[in-house]
Amino acid sequence: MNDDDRRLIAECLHGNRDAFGQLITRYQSRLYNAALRLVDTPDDAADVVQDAFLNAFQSLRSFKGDSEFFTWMYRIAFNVAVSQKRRKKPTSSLNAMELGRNGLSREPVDASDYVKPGVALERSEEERRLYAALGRLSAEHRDVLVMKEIDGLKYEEIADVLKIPIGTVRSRLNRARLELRELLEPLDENRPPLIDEPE
Amino acid sequence: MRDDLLHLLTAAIDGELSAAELASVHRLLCESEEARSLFARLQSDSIRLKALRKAPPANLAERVLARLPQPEPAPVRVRRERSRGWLVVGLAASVLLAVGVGSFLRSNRTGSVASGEFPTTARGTIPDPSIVAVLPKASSTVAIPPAPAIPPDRNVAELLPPAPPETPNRIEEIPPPRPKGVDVFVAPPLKPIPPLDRLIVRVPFLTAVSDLEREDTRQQLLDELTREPAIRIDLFAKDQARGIEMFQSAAKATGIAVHADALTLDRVKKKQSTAVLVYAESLAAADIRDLMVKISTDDANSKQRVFDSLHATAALPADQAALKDVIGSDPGLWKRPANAEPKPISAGTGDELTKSLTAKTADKPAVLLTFTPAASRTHPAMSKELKEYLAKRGDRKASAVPVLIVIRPPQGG
Repeated sequence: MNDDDRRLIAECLHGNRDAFGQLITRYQSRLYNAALRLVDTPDDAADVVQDAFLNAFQSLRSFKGDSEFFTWMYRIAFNVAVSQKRRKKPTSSLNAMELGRNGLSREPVDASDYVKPGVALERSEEERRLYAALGRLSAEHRDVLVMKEIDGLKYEEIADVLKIPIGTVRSRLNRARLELRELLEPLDENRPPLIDEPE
Repeated sequence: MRDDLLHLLTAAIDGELSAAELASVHRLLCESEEARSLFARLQSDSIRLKALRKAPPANLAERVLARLPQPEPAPVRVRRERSRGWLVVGLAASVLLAVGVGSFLRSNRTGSVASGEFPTTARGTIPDPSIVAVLPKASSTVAIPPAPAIPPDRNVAELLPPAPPETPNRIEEIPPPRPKGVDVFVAPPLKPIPPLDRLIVRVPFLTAVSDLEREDTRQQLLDELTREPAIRIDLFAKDQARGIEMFQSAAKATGIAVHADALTLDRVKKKQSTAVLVYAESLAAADIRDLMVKISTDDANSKQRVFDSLHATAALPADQAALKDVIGSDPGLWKRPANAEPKPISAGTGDELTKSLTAKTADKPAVLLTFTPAASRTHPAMSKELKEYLAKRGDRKASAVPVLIVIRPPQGG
């Protein structure tokens, strides 16, 4: 854990609420982006981040500093998002129950935002292209790439969250980047170049 | 392009390269057009993915802070306030008393002297006119009225107030006689006394380390060690660093491999540690005795004695709890091997025995860690030496006496 986080946590434990405010400012963006992929709407994501920080504040004494503060927050946010999803889960339709009774198994579906058509409609052309490509990556490659690029996690943080060795993170990221390049290559042929894109 | 080069390029995009890898990437990009092209496209993908990041709602931090639980109000210190109140009242009362007494004394003195008149005697004469001459003349308005002159024909006793009437003398009453107790000489015999419970009181073994040069003290120590299933020994050293050094040396000489925690030794060097703990569970009572005797001998041979006294006692549950905290696992001080019975001698045992006696025996492991202050203890997961010890300690033999040796300064610690 870095020294700044350690100091801010110590100050929080001594009753300094502003220190906790600094921790929120520092990590809210990364957590919010992570939460966006776990829940359905931006409002839900904001609620997840809010509840995650409140939970963290109440259990700050139990945080021993064995992992990075963000990794710990990430796990809390993940649990909050799962709980929120469970609360909002719609009841099964009669048709679905009937299918189950007849022994007809349903295909497992990828519930992530990358493959939801409704969500994709709200995005710009560029975003849609990228999300479509991400959606075609395998889950394990997509996870590490999103954690790295969108959530801004380091190798060791990804390894900590996914409970895999750092070497595996590096190797998966390598394959994910190359696969994504292959997927984007045909889509990019008609795309106008970005201004800040390196040549 | 080769896989390892592709790995290098993607790791460069991740921004997590070592210095050597960075140099390799730099070289690769200088030499290969294909690498440059791929690197640029991967970098572009990375920028595009980063652009997918969304900003959180502007007031998110305020929302969280507003919902944080309020801190509990600090308890009111009633006692302190009350005591301060009493202090003020006490001071005020003291000042009033002092002023009152002072003014009373002053007014008495002023009254008698300022009037320029000495109180007259019963006969109305002035005791010494020479004193009157040096006294200032009366200027104060406060004057004590002169005592009334007594007519010469009246007795002084007549002027005194009448004495109260005398009370008649009371006759002292004799106290009632004390009740007569049981006469032990003529009383019936006492009831038989029930058998007394036998209570064994153990006194810890305490000796000067120098006394271990004597054979009888050594034997006493061995008896003490043999009697207990687990032992705690406190070794009082005047110089802790030197004491630990001598301990390690004596341990090595008696076939004990001490795995000394590096952080603990560092703390001892910096005088941050007040007591260290040595734990071993593969030593027999005789091994422990030999170790102590060796320490005593070395101490006697050193220029200045380091060790003061030795205190051996049975290990208590509290010692086990402390040990558990230090080594991070339950040591099971009182556990013994399930099958401690001696096995029958079989054919070939003699050969094995001979082989084992002639072969060089492995050192018995022990571990040295910080004991106090507790806050300075090395976390069990952080000590490489503790891990080595735990890996080497093996199964406990039936003859082994787990021992906790605490090396500490003579005063406290």
